[in-house]
Amino acid sequence: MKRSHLLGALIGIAFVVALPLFIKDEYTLGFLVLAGIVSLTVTGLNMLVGHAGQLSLGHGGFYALGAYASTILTIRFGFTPFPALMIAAIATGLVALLLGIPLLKMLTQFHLAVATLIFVMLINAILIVGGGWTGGFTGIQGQPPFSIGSVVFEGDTANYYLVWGIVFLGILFAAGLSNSQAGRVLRAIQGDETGAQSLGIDVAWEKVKVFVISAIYASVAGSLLAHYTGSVTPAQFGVGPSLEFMVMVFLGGKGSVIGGVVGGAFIKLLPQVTEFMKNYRLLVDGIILTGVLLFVPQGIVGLFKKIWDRRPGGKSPEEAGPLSSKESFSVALAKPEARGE
Amino acid sequence: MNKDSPILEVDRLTKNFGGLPAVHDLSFTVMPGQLKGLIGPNGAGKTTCINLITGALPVTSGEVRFEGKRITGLPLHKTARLNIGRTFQLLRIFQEMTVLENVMAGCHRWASLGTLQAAMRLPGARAKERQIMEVARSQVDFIGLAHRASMPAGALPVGEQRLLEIARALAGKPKLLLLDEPAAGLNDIERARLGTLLRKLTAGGLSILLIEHNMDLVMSVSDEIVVLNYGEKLAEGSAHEVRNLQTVISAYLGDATDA
Amino acid sequence: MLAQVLQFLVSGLTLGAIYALIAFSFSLVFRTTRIMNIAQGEFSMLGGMIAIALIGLALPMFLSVMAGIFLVAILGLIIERVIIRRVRTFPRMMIIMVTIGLSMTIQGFAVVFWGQDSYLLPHLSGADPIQILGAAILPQTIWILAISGVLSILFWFFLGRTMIGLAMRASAENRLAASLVGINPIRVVQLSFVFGASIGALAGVLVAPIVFMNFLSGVLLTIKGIVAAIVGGIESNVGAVVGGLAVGLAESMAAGIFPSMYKDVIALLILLIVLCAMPKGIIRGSAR
Repeated sequence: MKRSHLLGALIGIAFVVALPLFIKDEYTLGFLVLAGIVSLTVTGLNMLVGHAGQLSLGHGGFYALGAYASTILTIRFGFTPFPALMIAAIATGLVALLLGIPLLKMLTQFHLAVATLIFVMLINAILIVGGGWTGGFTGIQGQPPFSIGSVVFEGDTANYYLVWGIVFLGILFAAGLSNSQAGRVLRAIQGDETGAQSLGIDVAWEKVKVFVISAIYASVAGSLLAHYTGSVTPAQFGVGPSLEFMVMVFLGGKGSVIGGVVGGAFIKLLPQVTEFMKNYRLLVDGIILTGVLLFVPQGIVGLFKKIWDRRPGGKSPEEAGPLSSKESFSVALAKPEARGE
Repeated sequence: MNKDSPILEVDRLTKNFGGLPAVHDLSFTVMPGQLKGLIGPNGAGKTTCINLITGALPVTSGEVRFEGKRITGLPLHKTARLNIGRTFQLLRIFQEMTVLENVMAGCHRWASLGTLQAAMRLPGARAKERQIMEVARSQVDFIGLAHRASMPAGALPVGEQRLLEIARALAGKPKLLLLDEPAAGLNDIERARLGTLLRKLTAGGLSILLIEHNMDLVMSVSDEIVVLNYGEKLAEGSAHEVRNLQTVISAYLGDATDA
Repeated sequence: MLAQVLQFLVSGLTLGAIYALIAFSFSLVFRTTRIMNIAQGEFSMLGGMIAIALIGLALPMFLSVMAGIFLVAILGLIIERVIIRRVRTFPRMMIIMVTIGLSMTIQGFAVVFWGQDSYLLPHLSGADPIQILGAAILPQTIWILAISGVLSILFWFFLGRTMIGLAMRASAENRLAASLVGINPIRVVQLSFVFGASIGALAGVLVAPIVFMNFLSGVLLTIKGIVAAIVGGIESNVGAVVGGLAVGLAESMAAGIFPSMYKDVIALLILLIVLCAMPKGIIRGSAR
């Protein structure tokens, strides 16, 4: 691992570990916990979107499945939270597998985007009419705090460390994936699917694999959410929140391993800065997404990387790659697809 | 795999596009270590032929055999797994990845590194990664792109991108390499270098099927040439034999754009 | 029995007509810009909501409806100029996400202005159902079918018989070639986008009296319109109409068979299955 990366990682970890010591305000700490939970989801999603280049507008559906499955398993069937989380993750993974196989064979990005959008709407609708099982509009309340064995995570501080500890593991895996042949395979698929096929890569299957992995990330995050907030309602898992994950992906940096954390933290902490966010959430998300895509398509992390690479003593301009969106998309124009083939 | 049996057999291959024969009753072989050229005027069916061999297009009738085994209709990634590499007429390199990464991706065929195994750095993954890096580096050096190793592939000039695609295909350690118009967009010097490279490869035991438009290149490097016209085989033989055939000359008459 | 079947048929055709309008707009924009506009349904939502708001301000019905359509058309023009033109050359994933961003932004504005409540537009001409063969048919339904029908004929004529229509079709087939023979592709794109927005808005004001409108209505209409367009064949106008009617009828049938509580679930499930089951190659020229 590069020395600069290692240093950055250590600083980041130290920062995250030390933060609660400086924040005595329960409210803010609570938001940091939530920021961690969404960061987990987005880190998983980023593997699918950033590396494999597949759009999923419906990861909110897997998030919901994790939350509700954990809830039902613990409250209705008396499982303890940790096994419940595992079972929920496996179940969600299976759903993703079943969904992924037809979905990822789809003709175009667009079909996939629409299909996943329909998926999250479907899950949301099921949650609403689930009646006995899902509690309908009011959802289910009273989840026990998360626990592993005899260790119970109660209160904001405990959950903060629990969640961010899991985020750390998630990032570790994502980084491991990204910097290995597996990551190259995914990026190759995004680069040119037919080209990837010619190297022996089973494109369809690889896409399904990363789809399932990202769904499991979302499921775990959902489970953590349920236990932390002690309540699940369909309103938390609608189209808006699902699309918000995508906003976080692009804001943080598509394809960047810590992009999930950056994007997630940013969006989640935004309400702290602007008090009237409740009604404006969707609008702000939309403006951020459109703005980022038009002006800073590489996201925050990507932008920092480019600036860092171009410092004196860094990479040459050719090596660093294009800076402006115009330049980077002119490279993409050389692709057969863009030429209309 | 003995030296006397063909590594690739195309047997009465036919492809009809709704009644129009793009390739008709085409048969030829490629022997191990041979550089076989496939030429013909535009629209003769050369690229269709390659697409039929690799499974990108379904055949209407006929067979394709690799090392004696039927591979007709196998999808592209499966034929790739059988040690058949290919390049594309319209470049399909991975623009955003570096040159080295492109070639590393090419190692996928033999690396067999599972997703979890790779991501979690399980035992065996590290050694494999090192191997991949070594093979990729050596291919990049061999093809002459070492000075570009960390550049994004999209930033390279076309000539080097063509070389990159070949290096990437070679990284998979293929036994047979299908090249679809690798000289398109190359200048004279680059073309000559390519020719030398190809001869070096076959000397090393690789079998090559070279689809090319450029007569100079094909004539100078091929051991044997198949001439296609309107999807049918017009002639087959050594460069010298084929060049002087009346039928071949008349097929190309009027094709003034040929180099 | 006949009355019931007729009832379902009528409601299916009514919804179908709305979906057909949306599918048609979507298809038109796609064919001329190669962009799949996920924000298409938002034009309908806006059209309906603006009309409702204007009526709330005591504007006469006709004026409110026309203003709604007009304002959305202007918005379409602005969006085309400011955003669509810029992103045309972006990689496909980015384009899709931009339309999503657009969709979210429009929805966001709707929430800010009108909150999360649902609204109904007054019927175009009275809300009393007319009895035809035992089935109760709303006058609004007749308006919808009539207007859609007239619009279809108008567009068939326009695209097929006029110079501008020809220019649009040519540009849809091959932008470069069209520009080479003197057609201005930028104007064509502008025109098709404005058409798309206007027809979308029209669909919105037509359906607003019979279906509650809120900030989320656009998304639902979008996915139904898109599936309709894909099912019918996105490269053809007739396809959009056929697809729209098919989706409408399927929805109506499902509503009739299953308990109304599960209506949404069934509808979405059908959409998902239909989308997954589409055979390859239904969309020509739309490489990945």
